Formats: sequence, C-alpha cells, structure tokens
Amino acid sequence: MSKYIFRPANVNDVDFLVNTIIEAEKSGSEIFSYSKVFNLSEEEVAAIFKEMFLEEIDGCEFSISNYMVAEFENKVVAAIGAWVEDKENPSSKIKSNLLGYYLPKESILFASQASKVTSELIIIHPPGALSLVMVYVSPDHRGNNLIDLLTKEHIKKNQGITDLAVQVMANNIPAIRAYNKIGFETAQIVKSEDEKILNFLPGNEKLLMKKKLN
Amino acid sequence: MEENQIIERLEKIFSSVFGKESIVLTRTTSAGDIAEWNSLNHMILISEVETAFNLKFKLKELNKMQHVGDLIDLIISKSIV
Repeated sequence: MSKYIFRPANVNDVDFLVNTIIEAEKSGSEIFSYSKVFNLSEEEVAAIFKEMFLEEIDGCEFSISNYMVAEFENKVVAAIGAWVEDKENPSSKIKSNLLGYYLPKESILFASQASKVTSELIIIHPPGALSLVMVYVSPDHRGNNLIDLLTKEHIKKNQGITDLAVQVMANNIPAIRAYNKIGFETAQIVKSEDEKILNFLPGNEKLLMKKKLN
Repeated sequence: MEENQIIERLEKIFSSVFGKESIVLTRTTSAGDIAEWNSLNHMILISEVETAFNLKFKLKELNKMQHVGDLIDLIISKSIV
C-alpha cells in the first residue's frame, strides 16, 4: 500500500483522465453514453474530451483541477474527480458549454432525440456536499482501497466538508458494494420505464449514495 | 435587431427545444426557472440560437451567461459587429 503516491492531477494525466470518464460512464458495461447520445465513435469522443480538459476550465468533470490521482511505480493507476457544487455556477452548465463548444453541430442535433429519455435519470449534485463524480481504478489495482484513499485526499483538499455524495448506475453492483464498504448509503433512486433509455445509457436506474463524515 | 424581436425569436427556439407549446421569457429567466433546461438541452439550445442568429459564442461568453438577459445582450453585441 505504501507504494502508492496520491497527488492532484496535472496536464500530463489528461489521457488517463479521459479514460477515467469513459470507463466511469460505461459503468462496467460496454455502453458508452457519449458515443450513443452524440453518435460518435469512442475515439472521436476521447479526442474531444482531451481538448476540453486542455481548456483547463474549473468546475466540472472536464476540469483537471477537480481530480486526485494515485500513482504506482511512476504510472497513474486510479483517479477520482470530485467537487463541491456551486449553486450559482452549476457544473452541468460548465460541462454543457464545453461540450457544446467542441462537439460537431450534427452531434448536438442528434442528441435531441436522447434528451427527453435521458432526462429522467438526472440527479442534481447535492449543494454543499463533496460529490465524487468520476471514479476509476485500473483493473490490476482494484481491491487495494484506492477509492477510499483518494476520497480522503479530496476531503483533505475540501476542509470542513461534512457530506459526501456519489451517483452510480443501479446495475453496477461492484461499485455499489465498494461504496457501501466505505460507508455510503443509498439516499435516492431514479428510474426510467422508457425502454429507449437503454439505447443511450448502460442502465435505466440510478442511485444517489451519501455518506456523513464524523 | 430590437430587443423585443430577439425575445420573440428566443421564445420560439426555447419552446421548440424544451418541447413546450409556448414559453414567456424575461431578462431574468434562468435555467432554474424551466424544469426542462438540463445540461443536454442547454447545449441544444445554444446550438439552435447560434444557428438562428447566425453567430458563434466564445466559451468564455457562454460561461459568463447567467440569465436570458445576458444572452440577449450577447446577441445584440454580436449582431452589431
């Protein structure tokens, strides 16, 4: 365990962060929502994500400054994105401005067919809580408590925080178990009965899990 | 273009993007006032506004926008240039 180094992410970690978002969005499945919603290949989306990260705009999951990473033998092996939601300047707005700026117009138009269906699974980040948003641990390093350790690094960075929150697809059982293990409990469930949602997302049910810090 | 003409065109775009029969906009209307104004719809909305007014917003301009009034001001300033 002592071989892991924890540090804030920097611009050299962008490729890993792009992969973190892709894997976190897949949620243990093969369905990558961004490809489905915007009708782009995974490679095309990855290239756009990279450009978005390199804008270095704070306040959403495409912000390098919101990530802590774990290094093992000089290689980044895990990352968690987290922030405290700013009610005046919500992460959803910053994210959609970035996406809208970089995505091709035809992809944005294509997304309008997904909008109505996917909106049922939107959960607002609880204001004041530290929201863990993108979580990824390389397969070889799972089971080493890295989610808990990286979360603690985020807590250190956000002194005074009393509540943690994370959103997870209901069918991602390993992730739910991992969050339960470190003290998260389900606080909200949203579900869509529209079968079309599975054309865009890896599941039709999502949980908001919360944890109170001592 | 006059402000009331811009608002009229924006109301049509907003109604179409948010799937509503009609929407009344004021300068103080913001995302919090319209339930359907989520992140995906925001992106579609901005894209439709850019197409309708034949302009392109800068990322910084988009991030500063808080209310419909900011959007109107931006459209006016970009239409003049």
